[in-house]
Amino acid sequence: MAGLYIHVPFCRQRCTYCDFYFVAGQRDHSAFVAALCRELRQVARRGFSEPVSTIYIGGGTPSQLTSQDIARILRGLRKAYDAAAAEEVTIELNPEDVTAPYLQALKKLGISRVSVGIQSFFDDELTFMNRSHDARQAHDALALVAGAGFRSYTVDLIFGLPGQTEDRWAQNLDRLRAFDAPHVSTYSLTIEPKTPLQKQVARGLVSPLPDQAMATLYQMAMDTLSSHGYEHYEISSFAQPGHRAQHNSRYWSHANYLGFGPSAHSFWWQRTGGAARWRNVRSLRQYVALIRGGQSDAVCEDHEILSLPALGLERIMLALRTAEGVDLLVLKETYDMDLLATKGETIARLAQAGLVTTDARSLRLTDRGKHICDRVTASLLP
Amino acid sequence: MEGRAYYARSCGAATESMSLHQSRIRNFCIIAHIDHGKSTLADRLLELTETVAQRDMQDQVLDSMDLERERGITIKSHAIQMQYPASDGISYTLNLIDTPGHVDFSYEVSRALKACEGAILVIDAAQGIEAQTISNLLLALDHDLEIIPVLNKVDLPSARPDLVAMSVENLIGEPAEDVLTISAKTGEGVQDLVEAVIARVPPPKGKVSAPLRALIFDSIFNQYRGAVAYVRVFEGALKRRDDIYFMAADRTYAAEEIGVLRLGMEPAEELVAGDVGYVIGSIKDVRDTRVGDTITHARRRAAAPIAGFREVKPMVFSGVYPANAEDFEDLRASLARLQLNDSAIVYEPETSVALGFGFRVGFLGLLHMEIVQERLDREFGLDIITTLPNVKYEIVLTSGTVQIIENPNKVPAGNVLDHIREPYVKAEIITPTDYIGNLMKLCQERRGEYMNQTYLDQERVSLEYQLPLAEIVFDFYDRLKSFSRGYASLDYELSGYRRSDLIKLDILINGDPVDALSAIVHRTKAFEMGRKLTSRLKELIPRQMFEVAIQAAIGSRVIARTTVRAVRKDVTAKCYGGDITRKRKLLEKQKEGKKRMKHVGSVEVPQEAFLAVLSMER
Ligand SMILES: Nc1nc2c(ncn2[C@@H]2O[C@H](COP(=O)(O)OP(=O)(O)O)[C@@H](O)[C@H]2O)c(=O)[nH]1
Ligand code: SF4
Ligand SMILES: [Mg+2]
Repeated sequence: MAGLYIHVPFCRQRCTYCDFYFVAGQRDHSAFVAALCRELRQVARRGFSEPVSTIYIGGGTPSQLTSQDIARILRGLRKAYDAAAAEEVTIELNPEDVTAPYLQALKKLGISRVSVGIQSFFDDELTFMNRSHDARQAHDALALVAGAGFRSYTVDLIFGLPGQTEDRWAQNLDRLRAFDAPHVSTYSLTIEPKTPLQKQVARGLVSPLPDQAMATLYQMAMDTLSSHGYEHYEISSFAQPGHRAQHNSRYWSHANYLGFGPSAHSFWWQRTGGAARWRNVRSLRQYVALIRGGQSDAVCEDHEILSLPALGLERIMLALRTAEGVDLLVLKETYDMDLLATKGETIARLAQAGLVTTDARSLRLTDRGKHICDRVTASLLP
Repeated sequence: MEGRAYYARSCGAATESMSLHQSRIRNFCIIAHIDHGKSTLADRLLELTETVAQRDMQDQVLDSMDLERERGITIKSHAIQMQYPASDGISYTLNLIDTPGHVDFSYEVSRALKACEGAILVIDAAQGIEAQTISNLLLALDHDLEIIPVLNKVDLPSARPDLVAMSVENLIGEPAEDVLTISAKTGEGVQDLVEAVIARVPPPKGKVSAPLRALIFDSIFNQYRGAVAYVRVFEGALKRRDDIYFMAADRTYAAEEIGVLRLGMEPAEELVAGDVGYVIGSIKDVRDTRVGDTITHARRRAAAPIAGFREVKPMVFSGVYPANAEDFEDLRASLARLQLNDSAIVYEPETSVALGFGFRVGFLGLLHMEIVQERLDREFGLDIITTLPNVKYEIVLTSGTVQIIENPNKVPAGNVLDHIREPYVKAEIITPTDYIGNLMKLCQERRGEYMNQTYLDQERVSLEYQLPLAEIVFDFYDRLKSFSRGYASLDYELSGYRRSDLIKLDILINGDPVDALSAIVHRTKAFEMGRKLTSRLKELIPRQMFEVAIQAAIGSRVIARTTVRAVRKDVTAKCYGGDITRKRKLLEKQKEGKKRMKHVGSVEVPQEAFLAVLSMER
């Protein structure tokens, strides 16, 4: 089984923190949609053609597309792939695009889950991030989504904006709670290289929130959401029972996935051992041209075959982020990595410091450990 | 040299044993305070005597090591032979022996002086007499050298030759109006100076027929020829292929090649009493050609060696570790090669919990230590970490037994330790009177004991102190300079061991002692040093997953403490399909970086932290 990811590279404007690939202000999406359908066909024909378990339409802003365009994409996808058994079909929506008819149209297309990029319920924060919607729109969109009858939906929230107070973050969490969303992703604001935000910081216009404050806000999210029945099943993901993101979970368990559209990433186990990772070209123009020429393989960049040790490292890094933690047996059997034997002392020390819990079978982060997940990961590397 | 006629000169100065050959030799050195112009004067002498062709002339010809040129100090002794047709119509052989210019090398200086009959005492006419002027003068007088004082740099507008000549008169009784003045820069007065050398420096004496006694005043290592001994023959005659015996080293070799030192080595058949030259004999190791040793004939041995030989003893010790553990064997090989050149280095392997495998290396002083470090870096391309330098201590146990230690970690436990003794020096500081107060304060801070104060003239005073060597070897000299606006100068010699209230100061990281940072310090300084070290480490140790406690302790008593708080946040927010590769690569890079981390218990300490702390002034 494979997960399919579709990257829709259009946005109205650039949010200050964003380093995704997209083009702004494009109206005509037909060339892209046509190319996408072709890419799906071409890639399937090249042998990457397992039955599909999850579909995720992300971006960019997929809701920049009309429901007709989305219908064409899904039709193309179902022609190229066996998606009959797909148990989760997600699409990302920006609040300003959400209307009742649009949601109903998506539902009819078989979309089972929507992800709403709310980010904040406050205008000043939205303005700071250069989001293309306001707080009112965020509210309204969420109300519509909640009532639209999708099997599940998720809300994105960002915390740790410069100067954000605990109180303000608490209010954001409160407003979110009022909707009782089945799934929430909360991200600490990250200053990515080459983003407008990074430039602001470099020029001294903005000073990032200190680590201590950031940690406090994260802890608040953990406390609030878990006290309301959410399961903190991945560093940034909280789900009510039965509502974990299945597509994303595939990323964390090293399952096969294929990415379509410019800048989309793929991961595929090789029959000959090891696994391959690659990324599509980060240019809509080149992407369309190459696909038109039938060259879906030429779209791939940064192709690399990962050896078992590199995959083991990835597996530790990914699994440690999840509630299930690192399955030591899987690590030993699939990746030939005996963490207890090589890192026993470190693990004991981490456990003693209250950063992990462990039994013979698995290694999981405690809440304290989650705050410094990357550090803990680094200490476990061979 | 076959068939040379020997006869006594009839003039009064000559003795029966002096030959015509000897009467035409002058062996002399130039002594000076640093920067007064010794090397520049040597350059002029080489030009005047046409020893160095004009086209080969470069500044400071005799300082052949890059390091010597860069630092403007002479590290090794050199000798060079010149021919000079004097105004009396006779051509003289002038052997100039250039001596090292730093207190670290005072024994070498003494051996070089021993090889001479006279010394040109160069005094900067603008600076006047300074500490090394006096210490070198005293050394030269110890060796009964004829002293020719000369005021240099008279071309400088700031030169005050009359005033300085007066203080020279006060110092050595040379009438002020007789003191020669030169400019080593322009050459003015240099010819008169050479004539004065010929007229005043006594020619060498010594029976050619006596058993051979030749003094080694320096030795170098030549990659192809092995150790080369620079010698001054005092008695007897040394011929090529003679079997020779090194009296202190207790080794016999064949003199495969002997000769004189011009700009290069010029082979000769014979060196006789009074001559200065070199000896080569398939000698693999400079430790067999020890400075100060006497060469005699293997079969016709001299009754006694030339007095004054001393084993060279290192004064300062430090752990030397490869920055990369894999370089340990390279470091061993490099030290072995350095030792071929520099018999003053001693080393033995040691291990440090924090730094791994390395060596404890002994040096003559801090300058020597720096030189060795730089040579390891430049000539051998080795990246090294050196621990805090320390002197050699005497540990007196409760049982009364005395142990000598070169590593603070060898201090025994409190219950068997009675007390620690440390080396003291007699230091002479010469300073303009204005700074006496400052410098006395400095000496006091450094646990100095005031001995004496002598006015050299109205403006200058010589202060004598007994000071712990440990207090001198670190930044004392720099402090002295800054306390006196650069005017004061320092000279010192070892004066013996004394009991002091010394303790071992340990640095602990999360309870684990960092052996590389242990030090023996005076009790009164322990608190400040502990505070400095711990707060510096706090800045240098990055935050870790756990809180890191940094403590300074005397035994089990903690005297200073700082804490590096734990990392608060280190977590990637998003980790989806497109983020994994980047994140993995970051981790892999971090893994590489970790290789340069040293581990103290569970704490990762960057190598740079050790470097920074270890190079920190106390
Ligand atoms: N103006 C002037 N400078 C001189 C004279 N002799 C030496 N110097 C300078 O003084 C500095 C130290 O001289 P150097 O020969 O290296 O001194 P050393 O340390 O005694 O060997 C150098 O910069 C020389 O160029 C001189 O007669 N006149
Ligand atoms: S809408 Fe999403 S993809 Fe577009 S700029 Fe904002 S954060 Fe980036
Ligand atoms: Mg010099």
